[in-house]
Amino acid sequence: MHTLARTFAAELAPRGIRVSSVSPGYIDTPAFRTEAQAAAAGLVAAGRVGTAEEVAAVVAFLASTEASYVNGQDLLVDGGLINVIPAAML
Amino acid sequence: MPAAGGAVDAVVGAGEWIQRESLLGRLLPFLMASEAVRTRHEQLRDFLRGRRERLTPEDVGMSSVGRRRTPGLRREEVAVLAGVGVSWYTWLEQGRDITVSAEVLDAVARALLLNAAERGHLYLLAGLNPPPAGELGGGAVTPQVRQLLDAWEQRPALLRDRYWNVLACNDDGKIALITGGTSGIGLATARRLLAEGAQVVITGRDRTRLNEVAEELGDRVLGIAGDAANLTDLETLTAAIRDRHGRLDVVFANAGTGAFQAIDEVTEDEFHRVVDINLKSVFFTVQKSLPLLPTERRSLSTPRSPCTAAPRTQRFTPPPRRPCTLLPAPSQPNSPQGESG
Repeated sequence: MHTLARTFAAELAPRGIRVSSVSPGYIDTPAFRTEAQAAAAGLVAAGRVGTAEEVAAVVAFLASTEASYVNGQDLLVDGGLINVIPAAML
Repeated sequence: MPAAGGAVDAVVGAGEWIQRESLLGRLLPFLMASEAVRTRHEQLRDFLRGRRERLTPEDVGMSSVGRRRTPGLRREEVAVLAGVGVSWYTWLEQGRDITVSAEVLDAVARALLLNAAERGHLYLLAGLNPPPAGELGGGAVTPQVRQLLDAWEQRPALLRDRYWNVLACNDDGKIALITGGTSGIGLATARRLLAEGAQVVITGRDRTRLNEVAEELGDRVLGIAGDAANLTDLETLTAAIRDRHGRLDVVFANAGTGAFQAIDEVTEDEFHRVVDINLKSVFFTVQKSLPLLPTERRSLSTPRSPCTAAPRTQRFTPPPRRPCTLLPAPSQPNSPQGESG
């Protein structure tokens, strides 16, 4: 998905259109409201699963003029699942 | 004796004293036309001479040496400034019947430092249609206008040019499309953007659920039922957005699904279902949205150099809005089979 976003970003840049992707981690949504949540929370540096609002805030940021110089990026919104925990385990 | 032709009849109607059969009556239209041409040429000569005499060499950045016999610029100097031949410019000013183009008139207008009204007058005198009003000044969104838009707070403000192109709008005027906007991250994003003042279009496959959500979110929300992986549905969607808003500023291709199975359990149908929703729908949501995303003018997309982008001024002269397209990650890493939106 990030590669697709980067491809779009490169091709659409001349039109002044920015394209970025957002990669959520374990988020409390109807699709993930199961007993697996508790186990997932233990894997995350934040110690809990995320809320949909926390992802929405990042999406709103990317869509705003505040992010006017951000393009073709993938923003991980995973509470430190991927970047923090592996480093901590070293 | 009956009138000889329709063209003469028209003039006759205007002045009964003209005898229908007289030679004068038949020639009058042509005489009048040539009189008008002569007058226009005279006016052109007077106008150009007047504008020329108004200027000094210093006004146009030329050095003045010695005593000048004529007031203002010389014809030769105007010709050099406009990049036209001296004899051609002399003919133009003498009111000779020469053919002029808009480009050359513009060059003369620039050389004589004419304003927009004077430039239009020059066009008319030269027998051309005047340039469209506002053509020269339009286009760029100045920091002042940008500040005005942003100061509108809480109210959507949109800046259009004379061709109805959107040049800029403030954050409250944004129009956002969110596919799969009836639950989870899509719904939270819809709420968030609404709170920021945007107009939001959400989609979902479950029409009942979609209508409930759209109802709950209020009248700044448009709900369009459809499958984001279905191109016909996407075209219906973009047509509806075009009807309602005419454009889009933000596209969040959020609709996605997850099917977590062991590799050797995945069937071909299941594979296609997931790829259609998670990949194909994202691609075509963006593709079908493109005609609705305003294309920014080149002149506005010049990057600002770091030295002009001091944080304090940045707040008051934000860069121009660009449309933004967002793609979701395929799905959450460990969720059971389920769909967001």
